Amino acid sequence: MATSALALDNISAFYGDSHVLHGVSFTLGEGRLLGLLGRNGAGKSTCMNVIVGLLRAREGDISVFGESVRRMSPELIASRGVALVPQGRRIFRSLTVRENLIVATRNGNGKKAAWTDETVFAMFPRLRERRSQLAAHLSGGEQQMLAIGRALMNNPRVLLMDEPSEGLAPQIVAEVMGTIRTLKASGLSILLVEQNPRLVFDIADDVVILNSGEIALAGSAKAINPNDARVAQYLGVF
Amino acid sequence: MSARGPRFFAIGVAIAILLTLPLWIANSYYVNIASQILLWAVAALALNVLVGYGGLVSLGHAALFGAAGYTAALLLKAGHGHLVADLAAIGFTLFVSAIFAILSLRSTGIAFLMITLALGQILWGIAYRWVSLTQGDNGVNVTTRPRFFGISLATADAFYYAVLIVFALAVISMAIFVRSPFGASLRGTRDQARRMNALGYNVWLIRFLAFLFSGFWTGIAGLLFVYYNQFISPQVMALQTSAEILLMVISGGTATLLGPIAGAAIVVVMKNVASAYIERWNLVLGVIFVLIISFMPDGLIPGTARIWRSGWQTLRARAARGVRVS
Repeated sequence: MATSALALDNISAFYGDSHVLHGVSFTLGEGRLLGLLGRNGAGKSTCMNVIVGLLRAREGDISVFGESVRRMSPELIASRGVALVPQGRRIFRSLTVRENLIVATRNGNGKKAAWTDETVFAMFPRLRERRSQLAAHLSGGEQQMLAIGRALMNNPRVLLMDEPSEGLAPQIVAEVMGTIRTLKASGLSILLVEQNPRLVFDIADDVVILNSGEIALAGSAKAINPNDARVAQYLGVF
Repeated sequence: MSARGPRFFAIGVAIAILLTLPLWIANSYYVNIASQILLWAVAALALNVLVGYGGLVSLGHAALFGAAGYTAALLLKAGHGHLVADLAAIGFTLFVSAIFAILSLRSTGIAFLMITLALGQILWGIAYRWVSLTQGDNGVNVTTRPRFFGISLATADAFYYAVLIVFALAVISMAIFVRSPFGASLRGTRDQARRMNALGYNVWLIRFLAFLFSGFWTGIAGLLFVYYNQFISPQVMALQTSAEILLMVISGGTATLLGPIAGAAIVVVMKNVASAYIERWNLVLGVIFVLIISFMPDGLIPGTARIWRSGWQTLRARAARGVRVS
């Protein structure tokens, strides 16, 4: 069995008194891509926030390569090699493209950094052309590339991507998915949150479907039939 | 000419004017006004680090300004040399800045502003009420100015050049700071603190270090002030001084290097020059600020640049149309 890059064990999380995640457990294997699916409000983004420490889980445990990170602050979790491409990009609009990358620089465990601004520019040549422009002036697709580049500058071992296709034109979505494939091929462990099941089943090794904060369906992408009635029921599409 | 050409030209002209100012202004009164503009510009640049780049509006910086001035004045009065007094003043200001930061950085926004205001008022109260140490409202006199590499700073011209050197160092350090990764990370905490957290940054520590940097230059400005006036009183630490420094930053343009300098020039000129001719100069100052905020909400420098750009583009568009018609 592959080493676990990220494991959630019986996680429960709340927003105030509202119980959002009910004992969620799943494992992302090293070098694999796990697609996390669900309707709006199913708890996908909450899962992401809990993993990166922006929201504290009340119960359960989260481990990154075997080390428990549940009680760690967000900056410590990031230092363990967990990077998030947030929903809605959330780039630093008042910084230039290059500054957005520079602020995210972190050398993984003292090793020579695999990702630098130059390697990010090599992956996204359009960002190189706009390196001195304010990020606020980028198109939606370029902002998404910048958000991915910024996460890569953290030299992550686990990359979390929260709806990277949201609001993008189909051609740009195809480009972003191509990038995700390249990153997966490089051996990066990726947790991909999406509302679009076609994209996930196309690219993922494993799939987890959340419904009302609970795991409704989980398994390998090949084992789950996307045309299954339960998939349609939980996602409301397909 | 490249896009940067006009900017470099303007900077060159500004440097030439600043370097030669005492040569073509014979009246030492106006040279002293220039010194005041520069020293208040250092204070405004320092506050701009927090307000403009950190998104943290402080109303307690007059206390840091006064802490440096009082420390130097009291040590000089006790018979210590200028070097000891100045180093102790900077050290004490950094210490007070650290305390301010620890207490105020528990929050942001209006709560941060209120905590810095309260802390500033506490220090003002100490300067005003601890008469045995500070001589209360009577203030503390400083009898001599230091010698700068053996040159006496007693004259207006010599003091102006000393202030100009410190001002230049402040501007250079701010320019380096703004362009550094640390400057970018501070702006990141202003824009999206949670995101910076998730990127692995200790947001509190970034803000704390920025507060110390801001406090350091505020202390330097306080030292310049006490040597300029050779006197310090609790009035320097009052809320009005904090508000004036904040007005300099906001009116000139936050998160710019030139804005706080322009803001300092407006306030100092209105206080010292216009007040000689207009009895109600405070009213005029208020009207100027209302006009700036109404027509250039982002401040004088960014607003002027915006108007200049749009005017230039309109002229070019008209010229292009004219060429086509002919």
